[in-house]
Amino acid sequence: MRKFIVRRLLQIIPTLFFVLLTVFFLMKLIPGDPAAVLLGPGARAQDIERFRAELGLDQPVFTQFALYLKRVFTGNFGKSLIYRQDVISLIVERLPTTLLLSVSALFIASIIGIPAGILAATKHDSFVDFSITILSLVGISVPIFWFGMILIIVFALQLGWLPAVGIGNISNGLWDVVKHIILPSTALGIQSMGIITRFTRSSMLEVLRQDYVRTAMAKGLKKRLVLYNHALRNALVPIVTVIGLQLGTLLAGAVLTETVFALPGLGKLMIDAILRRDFLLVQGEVLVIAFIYILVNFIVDTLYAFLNPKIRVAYGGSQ
Amino acid sequence: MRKYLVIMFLVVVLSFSAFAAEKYDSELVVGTDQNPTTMDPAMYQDLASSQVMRNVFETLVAYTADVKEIEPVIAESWTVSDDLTVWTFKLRENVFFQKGKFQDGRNVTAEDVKYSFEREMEISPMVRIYMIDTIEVVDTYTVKITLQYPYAPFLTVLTDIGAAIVPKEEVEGWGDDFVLHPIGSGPYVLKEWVKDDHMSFERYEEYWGEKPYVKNLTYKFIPDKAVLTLALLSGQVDISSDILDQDIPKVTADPNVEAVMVGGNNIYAAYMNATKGPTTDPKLREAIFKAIDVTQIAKVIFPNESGVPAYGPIPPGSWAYNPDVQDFYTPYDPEGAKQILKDAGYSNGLKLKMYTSDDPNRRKMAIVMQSMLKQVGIDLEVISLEWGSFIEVSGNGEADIYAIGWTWYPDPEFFMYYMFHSSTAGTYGNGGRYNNPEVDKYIELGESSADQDERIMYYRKAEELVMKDRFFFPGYHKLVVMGVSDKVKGFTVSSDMTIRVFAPGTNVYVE
Amino acid sequence: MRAAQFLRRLLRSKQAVVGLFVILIILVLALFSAVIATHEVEDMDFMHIFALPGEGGHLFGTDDYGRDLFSRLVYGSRVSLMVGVVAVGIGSLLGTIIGVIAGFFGGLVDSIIMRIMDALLSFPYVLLAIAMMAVLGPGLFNAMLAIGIVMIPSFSRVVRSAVLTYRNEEFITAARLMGGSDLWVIMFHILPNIIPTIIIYASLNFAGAIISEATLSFLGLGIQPPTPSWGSMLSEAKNYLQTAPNMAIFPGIAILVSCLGFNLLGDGLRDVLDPRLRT
Repeated sequence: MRKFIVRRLLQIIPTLFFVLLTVFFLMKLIPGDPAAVLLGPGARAQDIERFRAELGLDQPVFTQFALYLKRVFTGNFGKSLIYRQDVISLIVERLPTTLLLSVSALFIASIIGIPAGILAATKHDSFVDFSITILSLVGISVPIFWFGMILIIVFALQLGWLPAVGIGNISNGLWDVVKHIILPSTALGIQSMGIITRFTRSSMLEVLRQDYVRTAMAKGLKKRLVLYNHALRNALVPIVTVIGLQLGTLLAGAVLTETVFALPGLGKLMIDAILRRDFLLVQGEVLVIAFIYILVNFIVDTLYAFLNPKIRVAYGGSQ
Repeated sequence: MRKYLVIMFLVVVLSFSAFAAEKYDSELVVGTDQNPTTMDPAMYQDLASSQVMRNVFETLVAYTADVKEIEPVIAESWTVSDDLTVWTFKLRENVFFQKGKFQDGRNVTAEDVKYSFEREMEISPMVRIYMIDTIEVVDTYTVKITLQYPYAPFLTVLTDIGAAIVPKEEVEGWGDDFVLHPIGSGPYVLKEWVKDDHMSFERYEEYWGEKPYVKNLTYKFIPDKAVLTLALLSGQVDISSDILDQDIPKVTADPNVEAVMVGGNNIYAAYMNATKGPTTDPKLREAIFKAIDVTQIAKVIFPNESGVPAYGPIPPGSWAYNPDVQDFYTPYDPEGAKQILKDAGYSNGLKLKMYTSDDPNRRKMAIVMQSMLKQVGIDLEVISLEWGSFIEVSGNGEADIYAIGWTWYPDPEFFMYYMFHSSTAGTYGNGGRYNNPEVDKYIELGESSADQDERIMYYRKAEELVMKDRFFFPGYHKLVVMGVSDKVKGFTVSSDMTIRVFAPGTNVYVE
Repeated sequence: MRAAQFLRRLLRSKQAVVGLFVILIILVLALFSAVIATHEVEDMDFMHIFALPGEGGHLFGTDDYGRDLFSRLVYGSRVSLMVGVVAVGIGSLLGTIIGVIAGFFGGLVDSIIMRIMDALLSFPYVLLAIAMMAVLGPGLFNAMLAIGIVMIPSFSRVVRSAVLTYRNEEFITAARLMGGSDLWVIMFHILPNIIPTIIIYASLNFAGAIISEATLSFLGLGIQPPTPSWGSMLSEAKNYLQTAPNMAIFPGIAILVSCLGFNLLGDGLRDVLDPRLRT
């Protein structure tokens, strides 16, 4: 087990290096000189030139990369060009919004997805099962941004029940935050909801086919009791794993949701940064998001391997 | 009976004084669709930042809310040499900085002007006062600024918040964190800044000048303009910075709010390549002008008339706007266009590439042009790019046509020089690389003339030449449309899109 | 499994039938756009801007230029199908090659390839596509390329793990002992076995590709005007959610239904081709 953990941890380093390499050169390839984009339409050529030099953009690309790498190692991600503030402090400022959004999306997806999956499994091959299966596929097929737009049209513009954009302020009470997060987290959570439903259904079905469950049923135990005491408990391990893995996906999906609902989170910061060629901010942010994603996956994988030793064999694939 | 009279008298007096007190307790919420990024005058690049900074910082001179007159603020008076190169400012002696951590609200002096301007010229990525040569402190309250060359619109440049006067102690004391702890001589102090969400200001009670009515001033940042309008209608904001054309009827229908429109300082146009490709052929350009019905473009983009067709580069809001500008315009005549194309040998069709930014209005202009040019047999390929890629293409001289949008100070110099002077060829403003020595000559005359009427004449002459050369197809001028709640009194919508809560001649209050 | 048998089994799956039906409809729309559409997609009816469904002879109404929404929707199916085919083609081809190399050869090659794939996977997917579009420039082909490339990491992972399950099987060892070269073993022993996995995964990715195109166009990075795509129609709709909700509703439903179709088919294929993965 320890060997497994150590190996997975060591893999993080080259992965992050490749992330950094990719984002650095992607930002170099994007047309639009950062200095010119940042200074805007009225900029004079000499101001742009001077600004380029100030940013170190006049040096050879590999020198720039080496310098950046060196700085990152000392924990210095540089200053954002747009905001003139430390990249890290900007990220830390936005992180809570994105986490709140992702976690509430996951919450909504789970509290609906798991019961729906169980229901479908217990009513296997019935009309209910079929409907739930189709609906969960619909959930997977919905484009997040469109669903967000529809939610805004219906619940914010037509009915006026919930605010259309913004994150709310905790100083106005908890409800202010909750009412702002409901629509975006529903929009973001819909795909995960579909995935969790499908997965819960299939792992419940698998467990229900197992001998001990059949025995328990045959012994005349109440069906509901069997369901919850035996079946669900065993089915829950893989379900929890899938939920954990969804968190990583949701963090990435938050980008679009934040754009539609104008939430001040990492995703919106990132899109602004890309569009305005704030390359230091983009690089820093991608690194942080990738790190969180990798970390979440690592924790989930480790837990899963811990709970289910079979998987460790499968992971030994690369010897 | 007398008792009643006394009581009535007292009631009246009390309610008046109560009203006066209330006036000074005004709370105003401004909603804007753009997000400020910095609170350091030397660092800013966007309107949103300049907007909020005006509450904390002041400049030597400032525009009135109608953006017509330039009034003294920190400066009391000024003189300028006949050749427009030496500008001497006499400062007010009673202007004080706000109290801060590193100084306790001392006088603003000529040294501060020198420091602030030199700082702007040294560290600002975009030096707005680049025409300055030297700054000389004559005495405590007199500063003499010498320019590199005669420059008539210098005062206009000084109204820019980039030329704000800042206290050296605070700037150096806070270092990089000055952005978060801005201190100037203005009427408000920054209380809270939650990025991408809101910013709140509190009246600085020891402000040197007239006391502003608004005590608490909040800016809410709502990037989606449709939602911003909803916030206005539901009373969450008192003033909204912009209203989309399609939302105007909704605002007009509401008795508690008003959609105020004024002519803006902007021009949106299609700039054709003057050095390369098919558009160098004057016949083709004439055909393009004739093929496009500019009134239809405005109608499609602005069904509710929050924009007007343009017939020249100088916007109607500018004092140099020529009411007879249509005289030099090539009118819509699709049959004529077809004839020209046929005569010039383009009957086999022609392909042109037009680049536009993804700004919805400009995209629309391009797509309507595409549809109209198709009618006369020109195949216009429209390529819509996000801003960063667009600005690169527009400057590099590769595009046949690019959709330029330009907005700046109301002085015509900021339109004519930056878009048509040959020295700006290859920048975003003159991406068509237009070069006409005669136009250059008139623009330079306009720059160096002290007399406003003379300047108007020169710029109009330049505009006429530009329109006759037909490289610049004007599309539309967008009006500035702001939503204002009934409760807000004394507010003027400015053509430069700046929301002035407190400015020379303006002191807004909320009922 | 012979083709006839495969088809018979596939048609027994309710999901697959529904999915195939939906796909068939889209195919018909795409092939016969010119016949089905009631208007030219670029024609602007200035008299009927923002027409409601049914108004002025426009079945689904018109957009902000007065263009017929129904006709644009019909033509939009072409883009969606094309994006699906090309992007999935690129993604599955390159993904399979990379996955097979990593899985078959193992060792250092595998480690390096998989670390790079991990890195790409840990990128926020949308951002990778945006950055790539910014690099390549907008346009339909570039969008397809970007979407296809973004698909590679997950595809190669799936293929790799499929290869791993066969690599140590006896028949592979036997083929090697008989002197089969690596390429020969891969082509004739590994590939035939993993083809079902590839087909299933490709059909599921088809839906993903359609959504991705919509997303890129929504962000203004996809297809260029005046060619209609469902995503670009949504992108135009976002400014008129209140004035003209029909502009947003119809293309959204089109995307939803076509993705549902491909997902249903993918599910059905999985049931038929790979019963072990049955859900």
